[in-house]
Amino acid sequence: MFLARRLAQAALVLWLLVTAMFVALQWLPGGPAAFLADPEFESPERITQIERNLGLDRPLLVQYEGYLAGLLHGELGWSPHQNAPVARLIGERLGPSLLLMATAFTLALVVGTAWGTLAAWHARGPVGALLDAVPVLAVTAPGFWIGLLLIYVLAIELRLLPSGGMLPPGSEASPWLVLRHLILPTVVLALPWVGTFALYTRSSLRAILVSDYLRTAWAKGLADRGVLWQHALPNAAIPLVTMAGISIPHLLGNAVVVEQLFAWPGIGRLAVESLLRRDYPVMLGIVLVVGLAAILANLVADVVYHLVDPGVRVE
Amino acid sequence: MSWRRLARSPALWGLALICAACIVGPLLLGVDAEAIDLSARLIPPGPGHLLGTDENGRDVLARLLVGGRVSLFVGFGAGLVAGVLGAAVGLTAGWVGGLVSAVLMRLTDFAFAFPTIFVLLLAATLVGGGVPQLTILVGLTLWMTIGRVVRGRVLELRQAPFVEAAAALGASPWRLVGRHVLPNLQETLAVAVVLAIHHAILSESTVSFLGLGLRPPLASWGTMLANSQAYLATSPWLAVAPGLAIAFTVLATYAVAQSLSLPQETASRFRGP
Repeated sequence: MFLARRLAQAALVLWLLVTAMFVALQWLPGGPAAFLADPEFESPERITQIERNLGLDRPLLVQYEGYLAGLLHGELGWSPHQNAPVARLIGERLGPSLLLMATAFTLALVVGTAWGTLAAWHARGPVGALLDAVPVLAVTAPGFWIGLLLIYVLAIELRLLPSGGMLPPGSEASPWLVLRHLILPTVVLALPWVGTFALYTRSSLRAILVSDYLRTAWAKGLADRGVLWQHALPNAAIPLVTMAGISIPHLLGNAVVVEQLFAWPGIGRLAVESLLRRDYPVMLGIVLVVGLAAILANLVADVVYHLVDPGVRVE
Repeated sequence: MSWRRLARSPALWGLALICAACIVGPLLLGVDAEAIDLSARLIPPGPGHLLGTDENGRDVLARLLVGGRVSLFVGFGAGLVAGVLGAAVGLTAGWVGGLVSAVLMRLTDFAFAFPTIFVLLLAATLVGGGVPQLTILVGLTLWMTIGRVVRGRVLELRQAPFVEAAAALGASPWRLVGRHVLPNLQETLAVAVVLAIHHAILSESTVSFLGLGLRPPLASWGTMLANSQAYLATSPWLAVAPGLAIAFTVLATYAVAQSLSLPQETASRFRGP
């Protein structure tokens, strides 16, 4: 029942998103035909001809139907600038983006929860204050600036790591070389999420550490390690599930600036490139893909949350 | 609201100092932020130019202060836009309830889960990079959290005894909302809006850093950082000053929001290992 309602809601939001994209396509400067023929250079007859070829003279509802049918076949539109289907352009960039996001997400989750656990455990004294301050700094620091500083220190001054770029796809590269290019963007992308996960783990774990059932656990003589691993952490992890799910589409958002900074050939860089070229169909395709990712991530997080926390199942 | 605690917060004074410096500073400094001097390009920080000069020989300190006006204006303005919009959505959803609330909250959920930077970049490219446009656009991407917390508070207030008493005395819905609910929202709103300002300053600098926000002659901390990237190897000071300004302001707004909200832990029974 819960699943059915949640699925219906997700489908509704998806439909709204797709429709918004269709409307945006009509609305953008010059309308859909301007992507293929600039009105400044082409005669009106030629534009009418193009519009007829593309089926743009048909009623909007029919076009809408065609747009939906295209989406179902995985067609996201056509980029006149690149003279290539948008789906292929995005597909080429998906791999590097996913690689970067996966490593950053893993790093953030591992370091963040470990840090949060430490901070909750040692909540008092100067050590506790330090453990609390670092995640706040990580959350608030502007990532692109930290990235610039890291490039300056590690790449330009110390020459330890490459300042950016990635090997062209298909080139025979050793894993070590790929890894070296991956380190800086991963760290910068993960940084705010290390902070977020640490803060979430800390507050969630703190609330549990002061609860009555944990006092009982201590009172019956359980060792600290047993209290933490068996009683506290499993319950503290529940709110993290939602946070982790929501973080995935937002990682894509953060990746825009990180990929631009490190010349990483992913979706985020494609978005900036296509906007600078005024290549709107590509950008709309990206928004659609990102929106789909957001809907799915939200849905999965809700379902998992539903499974791990018996408390919310009562509703 | 805990005005006393707020007044003791060093972050608030730090933020006030930054704002004052950006508003009054350029007048006191007396250096034209736009004055190009090609004989004084890329001078390191020193006595003549406290923070050095950029690739066109413009004084970095003067540009930092003038650019700060833009960054802070967009930040505070966008926070205000988000506050008004979020309060409207939250109030409607919380007070009217039912289907309206369900639809509004689902939309809020989605907007919250969506990485709005993509839409922000697209919209900024479409409407062009003016200060008012960017302020409104950034504000439009930040109302979701505010809408959520306001709705939660309104749901609580609706059932508060004093609101029920006023309703029993025959107060109209408008009077109930205007006289009894809205004034009690100020604490909730203040925290949420300050956090929105924090995000707005970051957003503006991000969009401008990507070259899709404010256009070049206009200096903001974000555009200054974007320019600095090309000269990073030879003139790193160009990246340090605007970056520190952004980092400090963003941290200060975050800390102000924290000191406005009530402390999370009151009585802790846990003494640690």
